[in-house]
Amino acid sequence: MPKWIGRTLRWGILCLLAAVFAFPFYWMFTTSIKQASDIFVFPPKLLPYPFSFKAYPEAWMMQRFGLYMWNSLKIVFFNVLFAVLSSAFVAYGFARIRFRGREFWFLVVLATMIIPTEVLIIPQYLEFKAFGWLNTHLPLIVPALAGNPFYIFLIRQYLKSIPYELDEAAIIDGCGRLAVFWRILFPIIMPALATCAIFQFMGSWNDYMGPLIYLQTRDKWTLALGIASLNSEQLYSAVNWNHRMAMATIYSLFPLVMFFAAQKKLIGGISTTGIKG
Amino acid sequence: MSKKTTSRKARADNWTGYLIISPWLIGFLVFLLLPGAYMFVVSFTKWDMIAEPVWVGFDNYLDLLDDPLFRKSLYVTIRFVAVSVAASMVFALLLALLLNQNTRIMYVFRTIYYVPSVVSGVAVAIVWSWIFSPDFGFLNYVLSWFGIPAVNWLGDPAYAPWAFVLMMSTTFVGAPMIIFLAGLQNIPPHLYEAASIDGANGWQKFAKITLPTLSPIILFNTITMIIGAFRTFVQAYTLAGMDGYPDHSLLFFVMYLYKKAFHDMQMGTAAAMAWVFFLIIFALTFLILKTSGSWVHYEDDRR
Repeated sequence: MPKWIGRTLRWGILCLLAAVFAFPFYWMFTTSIKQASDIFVFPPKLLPYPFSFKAYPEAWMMQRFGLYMWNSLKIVFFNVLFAVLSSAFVAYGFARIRFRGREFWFLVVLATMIIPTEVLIIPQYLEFKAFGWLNTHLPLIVPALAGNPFYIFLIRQYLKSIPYELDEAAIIDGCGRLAVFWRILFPIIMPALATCAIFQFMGSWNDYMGPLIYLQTRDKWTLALGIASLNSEQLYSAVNWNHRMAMATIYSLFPLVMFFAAQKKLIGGISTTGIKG
Repeated sequence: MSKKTTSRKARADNWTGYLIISPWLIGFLVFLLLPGAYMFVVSFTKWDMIAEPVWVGFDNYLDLLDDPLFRKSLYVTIRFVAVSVAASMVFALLLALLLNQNTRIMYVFRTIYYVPSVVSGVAVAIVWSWIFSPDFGFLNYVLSWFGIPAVNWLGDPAYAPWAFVLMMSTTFVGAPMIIFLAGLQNIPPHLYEAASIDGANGWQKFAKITLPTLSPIILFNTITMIIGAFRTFVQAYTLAGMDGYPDHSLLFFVMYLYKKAFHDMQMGTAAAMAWVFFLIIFALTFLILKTSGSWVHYEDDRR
């Protein structure tokens, strides 16, 4: 087979699939800036011309999106903070302290990775109901304090690559175990923590089922719920596709910006899971 | 004397160790083990969260077997898992092979393929529901170039599952592709050089070097992708509503579980479903790991 056939085939497949993968984002944005009269046409208009951004303020005013966004950001902030700090601390215990039962508990950590959260929504719901936490943000925040098995694993691997002599030297200098963690190791494991923080940001920002189950009144809602309701209540209101796409664009912008800002860390983190896992 | 010191130190370390892992340990007990056990008990009762629960033994589990919607949701989910995991795996590996060059343009492609995985399921589902629109959708427009008549993608139970697979593949491919790519870049080049000297062709190199060296990664990707596909909820819920319109063709297991618990208020039935869900995933993971010895190849120096 001549070389050019292989090359053409390779580029053909890459470009075609890239078009399929990128198109929904193009369509989301361009539909959001199309004039209402240009939306219900066939064949569809590929270029959004004439365009206008008026669907954005219109959609924003349809529901309390400012409040939803504030709720989402609040939940995400505490989620990231708690999950990352807690996982780092626990990982430190598994990586650096010898204690009886350590191997067993670490195996349990790994085993819990395969348990989908959906399995436990019912008893957790009942539990949080008993705590009086329904229709508050607590069920979406507090569990993060327990850390996340995947992050614990990731950070432990990272800690294992740091020489133990560092800890020993600090202990000889009079540091306790906690001081070793905070002062010596914590700054070094920052790259691993950043990776986990990005994962947690995406997971929490994109979470839909949690808010759906726990948040009943609209003043507690997150962006995910608001945007989904904009989509499902279309029949009863003046919501058009450009409004829906406008809100979907705003909602997607956060993870997208995050992704482009931290692409290397994220992709590095994903690679590590498969190779060392 | 020295022995005494070490034993005291060991004891102290036990306490420190458990103290440090206590956030996880407490979380494990409070958010996982106790709820799991409680759910087991609930699964043997009839309970609407208002009246007192009534003990019914194995009735909930037996009733599930007779529930056509439960069987339908199981069928919809398992068919989706099989098709989407197989398709995404092949595409992820194919893309990784095509992208395995450290040039700038390849990084751009890699980014494009990964982006759909970071965007929320709600947003993805909303965009695709517009692309799938029977009258104004872009997909039917593309098909019209080839003279294919318009299809009611999300309104026809014969097509909805396939439309869903197409949409989900774009979100499923990214992560395994990145992991494959990292695996490919870890394969020592001298293996391929040696094979070339022995006169191996491209296909032989792929079958005898690439696939065996990637097999631990294939194992990892298979398990994570199967679990991920089983969890399908938000995209289907956004596209098809709680009942998996049309004709329950998008009624996924987790959606039905959600409906049973939070819409029909049948906590006992839902708890039984959740246990079944867990057992299926556990059994599948166990089975795959058990049989992996025969096809997963570990290099000695990496174990």
